[in-house]
Amino acid sequence: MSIRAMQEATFLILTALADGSQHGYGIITEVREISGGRVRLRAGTLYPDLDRLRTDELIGVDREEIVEGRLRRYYRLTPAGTKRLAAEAARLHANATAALVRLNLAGGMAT
Amino acid sequence: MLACYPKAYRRDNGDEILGVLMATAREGQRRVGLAESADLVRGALRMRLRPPSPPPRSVFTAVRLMCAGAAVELAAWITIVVTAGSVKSAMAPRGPAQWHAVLVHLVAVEVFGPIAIVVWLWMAWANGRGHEWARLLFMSFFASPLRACSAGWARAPPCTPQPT
Repeated sequence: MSIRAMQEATFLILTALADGSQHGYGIITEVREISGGRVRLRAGTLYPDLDRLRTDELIGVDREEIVEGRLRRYYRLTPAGTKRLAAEAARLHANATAALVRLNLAGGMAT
Repeated sequence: MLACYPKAYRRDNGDEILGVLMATAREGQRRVGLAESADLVRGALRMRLRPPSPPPRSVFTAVRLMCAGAAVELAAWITIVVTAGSVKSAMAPRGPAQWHAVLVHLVAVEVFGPIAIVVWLWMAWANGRGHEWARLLFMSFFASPLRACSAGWARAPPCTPQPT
């Protein structure tokens, strides 16, 4: 059974969590850095995505802290999330490699 | 803007969302910008229109336990209804007072048994839909007979062998 392609924002959120737990603002900052400033997540987009990823058990809550009187949650990848991210990264890599090979071939034939 | 989100979601995540909004605010910014507002409204609509997610495993377990409660209640009710005649034959010769006490108990079970079965199934349905009150009602249903049994055991005389 083939797994549906992941949306870019979801992929970047999981990537941001790949090397350690992060809170919401940390995820937004990491995603901007990973995408070279191209993808700017906002709170309204991020939290429904985090909620969905928690429901799908791809991420979990690592810990909670009270900062300046407000709750701050840190999220982490679950083993299932790590596996899913690795599979998606491999899929994207394979697709990108196939495209680049064909582009190089096409460029070689044109010249 | 946060008021657009479902109440339960706001209760669980409102603090975090507010924290992120404040962390991403510009120096001196006192109100949420237009882009942020539109993003929050879009997020709220997603949460309100999203189909209900499957409940966690613990809820499945609770629903199964409640269905088991209904099954046990049904089995007890069938047993009492089927054996009522035999109980009457055994108890009636002992005297009208004793038979009367048993009769009251039998009638109560026969009348309230089906009601209890329906209540168990209703709690199972409500719990499966995520209604918090169903879990609290289940705890009361479970705690009351447990408390009554514990009180009964505490009052019952100890079973000690009589010296010969």
